[in-house]
Amino acid sequence: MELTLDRVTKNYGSKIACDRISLTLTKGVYGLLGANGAGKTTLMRMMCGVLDPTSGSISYDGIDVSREEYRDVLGYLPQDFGYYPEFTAQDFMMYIAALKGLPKAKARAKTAELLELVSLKNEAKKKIKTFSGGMKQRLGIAQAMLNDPKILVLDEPTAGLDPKERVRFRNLISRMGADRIILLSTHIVSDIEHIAGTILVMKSGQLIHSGSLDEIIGVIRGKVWECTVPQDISDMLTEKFPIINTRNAADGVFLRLVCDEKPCENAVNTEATLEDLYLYYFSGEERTEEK
Amino acid sequence: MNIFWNLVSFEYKKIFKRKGAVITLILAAAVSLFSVFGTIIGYVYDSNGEPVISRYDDMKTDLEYARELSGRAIDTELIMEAAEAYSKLEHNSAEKYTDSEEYENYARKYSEIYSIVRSVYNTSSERFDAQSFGNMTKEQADKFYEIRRQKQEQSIMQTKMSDAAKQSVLSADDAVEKPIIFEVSEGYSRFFAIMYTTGIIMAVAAAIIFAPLFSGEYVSGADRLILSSKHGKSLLVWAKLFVALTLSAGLAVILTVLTYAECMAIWGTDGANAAIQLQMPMMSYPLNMGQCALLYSVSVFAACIMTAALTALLSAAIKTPSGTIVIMSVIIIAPMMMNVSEDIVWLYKLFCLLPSNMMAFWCTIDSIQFEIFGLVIRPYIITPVFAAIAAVIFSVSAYRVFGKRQVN
Repeated sequence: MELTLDRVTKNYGSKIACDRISLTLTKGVYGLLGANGAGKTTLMRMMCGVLDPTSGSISYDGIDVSREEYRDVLGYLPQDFGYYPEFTAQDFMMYIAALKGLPKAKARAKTAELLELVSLKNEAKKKIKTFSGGMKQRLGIAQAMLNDPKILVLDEPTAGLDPKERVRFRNLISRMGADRIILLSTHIVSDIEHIAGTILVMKSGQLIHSGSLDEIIGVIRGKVWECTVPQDISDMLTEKFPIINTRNAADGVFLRLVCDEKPCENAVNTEATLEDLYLYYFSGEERTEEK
Repeated sequence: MNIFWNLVSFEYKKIFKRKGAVITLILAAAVSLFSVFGTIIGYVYDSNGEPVISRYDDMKTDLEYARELSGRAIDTELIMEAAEAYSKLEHNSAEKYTDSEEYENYARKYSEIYSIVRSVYNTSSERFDAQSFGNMTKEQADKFYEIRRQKQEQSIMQTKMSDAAKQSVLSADDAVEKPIIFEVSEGYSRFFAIMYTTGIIMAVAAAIIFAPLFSGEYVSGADRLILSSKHGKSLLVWAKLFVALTLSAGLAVILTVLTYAECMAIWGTDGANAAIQLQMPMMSYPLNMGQCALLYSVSVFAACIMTAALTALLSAAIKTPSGTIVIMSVIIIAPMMMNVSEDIVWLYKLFCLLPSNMMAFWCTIDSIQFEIFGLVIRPYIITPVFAAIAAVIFSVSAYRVFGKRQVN
């Protein structure tokens, strides 16, 4: 079981959305991290065959992404996608099951099983137009798993889920990752931290890091600092370094920041987390985007 | 195969769950009904604007008169009998002759004969009016079929068709039985006229209903799920096309049968075996009304299928359903406002192969022949064949376009 990406590139005119990405994914859960516009969704779309790469190839055990056999083992939850508002959840699942080639009897059984799994069993006969955003997202997750896919690509799967549902979802994905390839992207770093065996970091269309949580965090290990400083010092540090957290404290401003060297006298070195890494890489970009 | 039918049932479900599609179907049926019944609603007014008789009763009177003449040959005897009746009319500019008592008492009974005779004796320089008919001589009446033939030859020879095509048209007339036997065929005449409106309604309805077939998925974002699924680029596309073609076929059959049944119910079922020359005296095809109705219905059916396939192709190629509706509306409506000269035969024939023209009776039994590799083919043969081939090409193209869709 091997999903291979070989120098996958996607250009939109002069803009490079994905730049020569090469990867080999085997069984397990992969978390894709990156700021908005980093190329995550483009990469996922190419891996799901809905967008052709400008160059490079994607294949699963030698089966090209463009083939029906590839799509047969694929489950995909797009970042945003259309439901049929007049369909019930059951209709929608049965329709997707037909698209995935499931016989009716199996589709019915799978639909019941998955709707229960995502806590939509009681809403099975309700029209999708009456669903909340979270319910639609759960339905989206359920449809992706209908064909018991060997490759599961989930673009922002936890968006709109409440904390309880997120935890349930994370546990489910962890279990499923034992015998399939799961790639998920999210802005909720803790989701990836908890379930991804391998973390992929994308920036400006390039894959800049790939490895386990420990390996990835190694990049900023020893560089995360916490301190409480007066307002003027806080302003100076905020300007100079990526700030992970800031809050007003009784004796000044509390800061958590990333810096190669001790940023001020009373700074204390602390354990790095994935969120620290994310902000270290992308806070600058997001500030630029906001402008 | 089960998966295919399952997908087909879901595609039908998608269409019938859309209020717009259901309203369009209901409106199409309602407009089609009204276009038939509308012609007998209201009154006939005299020159003072006063209602004289209901249109329905007026139509019944005309039918009764025409039935009295049914079975009679249109020969010198009948023509002179009709001319005699028309000679009793007084012609003054103050009153329309059809409002006069003399017309009502003598001439009206022969009005159908007059309309047939008139088209033969009319010339480009002189109109053969009711007064001319009243003054008609036996010698003129004797030459009815001779003059018809001369006029036919003159008209065909003036066209830019090849000699073989001209000869083919003229020789077809040899098989037309003469003298032509008069029969009531008002039901068929009305059917030929009203089916044009029905055909246009079908085409517009098909454009509205099938515009979101593919582009609706683009707009909603469901294309991502579809295109990443096993059958999303193959079976589903065929299922969608199958639904578009079968639904348009169903719509065409239902509205055609409805229009035919209404026409027969109102104007009578007489005339299936009557010569088409009673409706179009200069026509050279040896066809009867029933055959023409069948050929015309097949053309309209095929045109409706072609329109659905073209809509499906545009729906796959254009990002929004509204874009498809706008383009299809132009394709359907624009030719209705245009005229193309018969002098440029190829352009004229292409013009006849546009969906709205395929739905016109005059295009189905047009005298201008199609010529392919020297073979002369009748328009009522080429129209459905062309529509079927075009529908296949459009469908295959739609399949390819949707399969190559890129989700950006």
